[in-house]
Amino acid sequence: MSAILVAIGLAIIGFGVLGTIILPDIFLRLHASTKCGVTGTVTVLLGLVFQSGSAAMAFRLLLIIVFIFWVGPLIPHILGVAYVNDQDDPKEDP
Amino acid sequence: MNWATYILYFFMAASLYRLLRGPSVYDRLLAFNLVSAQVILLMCFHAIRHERSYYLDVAMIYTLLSFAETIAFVRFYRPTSRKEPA
Repeated sequence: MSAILVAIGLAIIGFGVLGTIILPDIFLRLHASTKCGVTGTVTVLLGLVFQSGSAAMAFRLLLIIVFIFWVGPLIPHILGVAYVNDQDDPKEDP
Repeated sequence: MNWATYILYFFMAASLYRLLRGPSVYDRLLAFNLVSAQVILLMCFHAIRHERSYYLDVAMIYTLLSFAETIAFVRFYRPTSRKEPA
């Protein structure tokens, strides 16, 4: 169960890294990095929860999952807003 | 779980391509966030393997620090980027 979840999460992270490398625009890269990064990381951490020996480690892993769900979608949102504001004349109102 | 850490090292090396060759600074910040998420995963793998629970504390703090760091970098590169409402 743990190894299966870790493998699925690593596959999702791999797709995110691939999209970050080959996609041509920054918004497409933000799309790939956000969804695949957050979902893959949380899936790998869920796999590690099943493997953790004690309840304290499991609780800390669940807390890391909560933090990643909290700050993971916020960072690319900040980057996207900053990139749009950085352009002199954006093509359309975001 | 050795194979998972090796795959994570490979992913980090692949993410460094976008970090080195991003056209804008936001591409580099994006790649850096991807790498920092993988560093968090690596800390959790080491904590599980060696039964050291304080690595998980470090990973927890690093999650929040990467968020604050992104805000700091964006403010540093574009301090007056707040658009006035029309």
